[in-house]
Amino acid sequence: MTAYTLAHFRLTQTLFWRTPIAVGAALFFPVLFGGLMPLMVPGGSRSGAPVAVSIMTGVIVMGIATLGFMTLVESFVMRRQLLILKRLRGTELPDLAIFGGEILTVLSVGLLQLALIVGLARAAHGITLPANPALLVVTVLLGIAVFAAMAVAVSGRVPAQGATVVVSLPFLLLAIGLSGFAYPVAAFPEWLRTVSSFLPFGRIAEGVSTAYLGRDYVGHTGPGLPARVGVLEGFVVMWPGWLVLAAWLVLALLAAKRWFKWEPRRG
Amino acid sequence: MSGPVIEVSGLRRRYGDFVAVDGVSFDVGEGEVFALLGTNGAGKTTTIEILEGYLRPSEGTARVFGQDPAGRAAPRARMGLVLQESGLFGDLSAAETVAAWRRFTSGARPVAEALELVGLSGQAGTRVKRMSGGERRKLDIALATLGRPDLLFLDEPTTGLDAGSRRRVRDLVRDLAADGMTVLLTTHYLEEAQELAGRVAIMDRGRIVTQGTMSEVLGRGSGRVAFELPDGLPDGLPDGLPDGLPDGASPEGLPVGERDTLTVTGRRCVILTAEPESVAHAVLGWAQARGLRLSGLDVRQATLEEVFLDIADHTPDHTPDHTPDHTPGDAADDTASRTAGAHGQEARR
Repeated sequence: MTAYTLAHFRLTQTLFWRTPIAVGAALFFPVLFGGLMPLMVPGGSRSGAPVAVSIMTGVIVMGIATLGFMTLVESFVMRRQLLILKRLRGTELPDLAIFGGEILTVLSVGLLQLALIVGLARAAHGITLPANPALLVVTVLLGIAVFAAMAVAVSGRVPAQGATVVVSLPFLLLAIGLSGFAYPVAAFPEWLRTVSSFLPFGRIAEGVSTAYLGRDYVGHTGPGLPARVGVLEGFVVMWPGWLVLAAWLVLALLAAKRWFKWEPRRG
Repeated sequence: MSGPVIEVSGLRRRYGDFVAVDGVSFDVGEGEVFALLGTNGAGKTTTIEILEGYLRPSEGTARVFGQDPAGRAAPRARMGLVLQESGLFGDLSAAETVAAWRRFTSGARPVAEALELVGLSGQAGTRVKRMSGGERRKLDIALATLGRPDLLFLDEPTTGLDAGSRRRVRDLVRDLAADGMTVLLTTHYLEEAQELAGRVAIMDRGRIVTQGTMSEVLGRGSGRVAFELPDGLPDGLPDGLPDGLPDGASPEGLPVGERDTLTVTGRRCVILTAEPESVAHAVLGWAQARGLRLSGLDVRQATLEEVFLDIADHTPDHTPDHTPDHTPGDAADDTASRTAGAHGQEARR
C-alpha cells in the first residue's frame, strides 16, 4: 500500500512540475500577492496584529486553497475525463494509493509554498519568522488535507474540464474574504463572524496568526494584543479550529465517497 | 493449473430498462485466445468491463482466476488491460510512462525490453502527446503486458488504426499468445478474430448467438462473389445462367452449389457462398469459356454483418425490425469483413 502510494506520488509529482499553470498558481501567485500587497496597504495593525502579518496570513490561506482545492479539482476532473483514472484503476494501484499519491504531491508542494511565503515575508517586509513553526506547519498541512478532500468530493460533481471555474472561483473568493486578507475579520458583521467560525478558511487563518506571532488569535477580535502562548499551548488554544477542520475533513470524505467518479460524466 | 481462467455464467447487466448483457455464459481456458465479436451495442464492452472489474453484474456470475473481478481479492497483478479508450499523460515520454508504471507493477520488465517488445524503442524519448494513434496503442499494450500477466484483456485493440498499425498490433498479440498468455479479445473485425482466436463468440443484442471455433462459426455465414455481365446480353436472365436457385452445378459448369444462392438483378449477379475464392475461379472459367468479359468483379469473405443477419434470421426470438447499429460519419476504412460503426460507444455506466 505504502509503496503504491509512493509510486503514484512520484508520478504525480513529476506531472505537477511539468504543468506550468499548476506551478504558477501554487508558487508564482502567492509570491506576487505576498510581495506586492503589503506595499499597497497602509501599515498599522488589525486586531492587534500588524497589517503586513494579516496580509501574509491571507496569502498563506489563499495559497493552500489554490493548491489544495483548485489544482486538485482540475487534476481529478481532467484525468477522469481523459480516462486516465480509469486506466490507473485497472493497474495494481489500490484506489486509496491513487488519492494518496495526488494528495502527497499537494502536501509536499504546500510545504515548499509555505517556505517561500515565510521567506518572502522576512526578506521583503521584515516580518519576524514564525514564533511557533510546528503549529504553522501542522495548520497548513491539515488545511491542505481538508481542501484536498473537498476537491476529491467536488470533482465528482463537476461535469467537464471547462466547468471547474464554477467551483474554483467561489472557493477562492471565500478564501480571500474570510481569511482576513481583504478585510479585517474584526470588522465583519456579527452574523458573518458566526458563519465564518464554522468554515475552515478563518480557522486556518487563526492558526497561522497564532503560530506567526505566538499569541492566542483564536476567536480574537478586539483591538488589544492577545495573550502570549507557548508552542504546546498554541496547539491547545486552537481546539475550536481543530474541531472545525476535523468536522470538514470527515464531511468531505463522506461526500467524496458518495460523489467521486472514476469515469467520465456523460451529458 | 486447474479450471478455466475466465468463467462467465448467466451474466446480465441492466442500465435502467436497457439490458446490455442478457444471460451470457462462456469459459476461457488457460493459454486460449477467445474473441467476442459483435456490432456496436452488442454488449461486448459491458461484458469485458465486468470481467475487468469496472462494472458489477446485475445477475449471474463472472469469475477471473476463480475470484470476483470487482472484489478486493481480484488478482490485478495477473491481469493486463487494454481498454477500448483510455488516456495517457501527454507530457511524459514513452520511456517515462513505462518507468512510472514499473513502480506499481509486480515483476515488471525493464523499460527497454517493454518498449522493444512493442516496437517503440525508436520513440522512447517521444512525448505521448506527439505520438500517433498506432504508437499510443502500442504503448497501451506495452503497459498492459509490462508485468507479464497471465491474462490479457484487449477491448477493440485495433479500432481506429490504419491498416499498417492494425497489422503490427495483430502480430504483437499473436506473439504474446504464442508465449502462452490467455487473451480475451473483443473486435469488430472478423479477420482479426479469424487470425488470432482459437474460439469466438458472436454477440448480438446482449446475447451470445453462436460460439465455437472460427470455422464452426463461419460455416454458418457466407462469402460473396459479385460481377456484372457485359452489354449485349439481354437484361434479366443471361444466356446460359440458370434461373432462380440452381441445384448443383449448372450445366454450363457454373459451380453454384446446393448451399449457394444466386441473385440476378439486371446484369448484376451476386452469388452467396461459403467458399468465395473457388466460386470466383469457376465463374471466371465459365466466362472465359464463353468469351464473356465480366466487369465489377468483387470477391469477399463473409462479413460479420452478413454472418449476423444470417444468424439473426435463424434465431427463434428474432425481432424483425432489428437493424444493426450503423454509426453515421464513420471513418472510411474499408475492410470487407468489418461491420458498420467504428466508434464503439457501447452503453456504459
